[in-house]
Parts: sequence; C-alpha cells; structure tokens
Amino acid sequence: MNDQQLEHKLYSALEHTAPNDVAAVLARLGPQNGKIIPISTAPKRKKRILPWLAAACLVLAIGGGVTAMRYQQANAVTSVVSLDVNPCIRLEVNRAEQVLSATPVNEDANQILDGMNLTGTDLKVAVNAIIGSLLKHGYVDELANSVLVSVEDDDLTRGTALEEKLTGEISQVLESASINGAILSQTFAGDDALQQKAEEYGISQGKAALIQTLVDSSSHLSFESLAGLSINELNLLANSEAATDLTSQSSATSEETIRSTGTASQSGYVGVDAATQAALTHAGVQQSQVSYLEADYDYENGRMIYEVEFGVNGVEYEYDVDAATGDVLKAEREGHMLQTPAQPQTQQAQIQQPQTQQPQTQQPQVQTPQSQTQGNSAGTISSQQARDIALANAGVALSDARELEVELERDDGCYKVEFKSGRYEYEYEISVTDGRILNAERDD
Amino acid sequence: MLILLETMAEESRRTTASEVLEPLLVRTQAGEQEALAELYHHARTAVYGLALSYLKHSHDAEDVTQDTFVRVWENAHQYQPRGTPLAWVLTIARNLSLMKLRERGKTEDLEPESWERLAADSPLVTVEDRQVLRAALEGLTDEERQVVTLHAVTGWKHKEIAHLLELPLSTVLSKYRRALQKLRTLLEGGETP
Repeated sequence: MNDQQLEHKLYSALEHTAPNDVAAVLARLGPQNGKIIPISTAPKRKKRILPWLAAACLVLAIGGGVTAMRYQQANAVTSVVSLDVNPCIRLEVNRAEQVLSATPVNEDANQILDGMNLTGTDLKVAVNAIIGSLLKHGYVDELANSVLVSVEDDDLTRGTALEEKLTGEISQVLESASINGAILSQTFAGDDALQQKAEEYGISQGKAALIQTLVDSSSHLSFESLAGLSINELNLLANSEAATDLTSQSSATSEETIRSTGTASQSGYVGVDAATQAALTHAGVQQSQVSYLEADYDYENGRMIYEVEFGVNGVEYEYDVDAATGDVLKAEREGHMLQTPAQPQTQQAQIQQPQTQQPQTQQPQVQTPQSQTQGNSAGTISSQQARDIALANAGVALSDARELEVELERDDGCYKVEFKSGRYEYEYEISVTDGRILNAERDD
Repeated sequence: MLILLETMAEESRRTTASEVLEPLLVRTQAGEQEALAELYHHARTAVYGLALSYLKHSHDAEDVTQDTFVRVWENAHQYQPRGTPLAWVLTIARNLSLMKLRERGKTEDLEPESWERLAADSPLVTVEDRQVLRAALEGLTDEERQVVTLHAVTGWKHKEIAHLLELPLSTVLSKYRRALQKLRTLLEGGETP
C-alpha cells in the first residue's frame, strides 16, 4: 500500500463518517455579524409603536416564509437520477444534490441496495456506493460493461450539468476498478407518456427514454422489441448505424440526446471481423475483391445481429449474421446487371409441380447428390448449400440470380431462398436438416 | 470499496479547491444560505476530519462540524478573499476543536470511542473504514494524526499544514512520514516502505 492509497483510505473513511446534515446547520442560522439589518427607514420624530410592531411582524412573517421556503427547497425533489445496468436504482435528489430517497426499480436492485440507507447522503457518495455494489455483485464486468445514467430534471441545464458530473464520477470509479466501462447518459424533462411506458414494461424511465430515442431515430426498431434488451445491448445499438438511419430526416438525433463514453463490451459476441468473414465466405468472395464493406450492429427478430453489407463488381450483398453465434441468418444479393432473357415456358411448367407440395417424389433426383457431397457433419446444411440446391432446382446459374436472399427460418427448420431471374421470381423452402425442398414457387 | 478511494481523494482536492470555495464564501457573505449549503457539501469532510483528529470522538467532531459552518455564516464578513478559503474555514474548525478540548479538560476524560458503534447507523461506513479510523485514532500521536489527516483531506503542501497547525515545517514533515509508516504497519501488519 503506497502513501497515496493510505491517505485515500483515510479520506474515504472520513467522508463516510462525516455528518451530512446541512438542514441542521441551516436551521441554526441567525443574522450574520457585522451586517446592517436593512430596516433602514430612519425613525421619524414621533415614535409610534404600531408601525414598529407591524414591521416586526412583517420581518417575522418574511423570516418565517424564508425559513419555510428553505425547508421546502431542502426537501423538494429537483432531479431524479436513475442508474441502470440491469439492476436499476432510482434516486430522488434535492437542489443541494442530496439523496431524498433511493428506490430499487427491479428485483435485482434490491440486492444492490442491500439495506443501504442512502437517504440524506450526498449524491456522489450514494452513486459511488451503488456502483461499488454493482461491481461487487458482478453486474458490471468485461462481458457487459455499460451503465446508463439518466437525469430527469425540468431544468435541463441543471440536469445536464448533473449528468456530466455523474458520468465523470462513474467513469473514474470504473477506471479504478480496471473495468473498461462504457457509460450512456441522458437528461430529459419529466414526461407522463414516458412514465406510463416505463411502468407498462417494468423498466426505469431512463431506460424507457433511451429506447424511445433509439426507436425515434430508427426506421425499424420498435419499443416492444427493445424493452427486453440489456443496457449493454442498447449501448451497442445506440452507437450503431441502426440508431441513425433516420437522422438525416429527423432533427432529434440520438447523438444530441444520448451521450456515450467508452465502448460497450462486445465480448459476448463473435465480433465484427468474424461476422464479416462469415458473410464473405458465404458469398464466396475474397475481401480483396470487395469495393466497399460496412458492418454494424442491429437488432432484428429478437436477436442482436451484425448487418454486413458489401459490394463486388457492382453487385451489392447484404447479410445478417447472428451476433452471438456467427451464423448467417439472411443473405441478399442484388445485381445491377441487365435482365437476362425470359426462361422458356416449358421450364415454368416443370417447376410449378413442386409448388403443389409434393416434395417427397420430386426431391431425390436433385437433392440427394447435393446433400451427400455438401452436408455438414452435424447433418445440417449451410445457407450456402441451401442456396445452391434452390438454384440447381430452378436451373438458374448463380451469376444470373438477382436479389438473392437466403434466410434461416429457425422456427420452421428451413431456409427460405428467394431470387429473381429473367422475369420470374422464385421462392424456395429448403429443409435445414437434410436439404430437401419443402416448397418451391415461381411467379411471373 | 478500495477501488473507490482514489476517486474520492482526488475529488476532495477538487471540491475544496479555492476557485470552488471562494465564490461560495463571497455569496455567503452576501447572505445567501444556499451558498453556505453548498460550501458545507464541499468542505464537510475536511472540517470533520480535522475536528476528529483533535477530538478523537465522533460525536464531538460532529458537533464541531456543525458549529463551524454556523460560525462561517455568522462571521462571513471577516473573510478576506485571499485565495485560501478552506484555510479560513479550517482555522475556525481548529479553534472550535481546541475550545472543546479545553471544556473537556474541566470535566473528566471521555471514555474511548467504541469503534463498533461508530456511525453504526450509516450504511456507507465499511469495516475497512472503521479499521482505518481506529488505526489513526488509537495508533497515532495527536500531532501525527492531525498532520496526516489534514494532508489527506486537503491535499495541501506541508508548509500550509504547518501554518494551520502552528507547527514547524520540519515537525510536520517528520510527523507525516512517521504517521504513514505507523498506519501502514497497523493496517498491513508490518510491511515497511
């Protein structure tokens, strides 16, 4: 233990034991010494007792009023601070930044507060204690390092100042714990609609405000789908393109309302590089061939995904890769080539048959060799294999397929393969387990 | 809790910085109770720490802390903005502590503080806090404790500490080193620097 650490311990012990009762001091304040009490109207020659009495009463009344006002100020809630990790704690704070009440918003938060009585303590001390407890209980670590700080205050300037102060405080605490923390912070005025939503989903108003901002700035995210996400996941989204795809049209950008410090942990996910590689491999494309490449987090169908987009020779690819597993969930290919001549009518007649759900008789001819040569060891086929099976069945070369999409439909146990070729639109359902064609359709 | 300490001490230095306290004292002079409240918020740890280092008794130190801020209010006009607002506040705290000690001298000595009970109602006080305070209050001489506490709560230079405590600089330096050595030994069980 070095000198500094020793002194820090001593300081901390004193800070914790020092009284924190400013109200008791204020209650004792009388007139200040050496000050002229400003009842300065010079006494007139005639000393009349009534006006003096009146003045004295007035002074008393004003004095009483001021005291009452002070009392009210000390006990009036000016800001509401909430700290969200998954446990969420709500702190009501007065103007002197003292905690008037600390409430656990969810189950987990009970454990964090663990009988601590924070009422009357300095906000900073309370926040330090809470973050300490969050760390101790393992809620903030390398896997999920994001903390959301929300300040609800009708005076936004004051709220923002408080928000900045708390963000600084928390980031220092995390830093000293050697946690590479990420903090999202926001300030907003009280809002009944938001309050209602927060109650409906059983989340804090702070989290509700964050989700609302994400929803407002995105074209496809919905409140309901995001309510169940962790703060770390929301942080990843807040800093991704998903949250800014409407920013060009909307004035309320997420950057304006949500401030972000540090980088949200991605340790729970395969990583952008692995996701990109999965997509490129699936497309059979080398990174060196790619003219542009973008990969970012998104949230679709109840899971965190990487959306990977790239172009090769004027052909655009768009992939969704499961962020947790690295599986390709969706593959789209859009070519900018001229339409190939229409396929002969006879072929259309042939393919109409599988559409009427007779896969058992039709499949073996096409499928068996495919699944034998390309089947995975676990007896499941990859989305790439599913794509090839569909193309082979349609008699369409990969290079002739436009707007190619392969999507894994987990619930149905099949890949949905869609593409266009010539003037036809094809839609296939390929079994994940053995590559059988479960359904095939072709439309004009 | 160890991880939080560094932040807090750094914070203490910042919150008691002259540029923070000076405007608050000026506003207090003007009769603004809110400024006093803010001043309390910034300086209470330093005032309490100094009082405790003199009095070795938490209740007395709490009383002195409260009295100090009432005095600051009453005598705010005496403060001359010279860039040492904390020194002015702590001088009041020291005088009140010395007065308390004199009062106490007339009566019998207090029983030793019971560390198990110290701030038992405060959830913020950790076991380690109690150990540290106990080491500082029972294991150090009065001067050692005053010097090291003042250094911890203000982050001042030794010269400034010598001035406030009315001790020679050389004494402050040697007491400071000795105090830290003793604390380390008490808390770690013998590790030498």
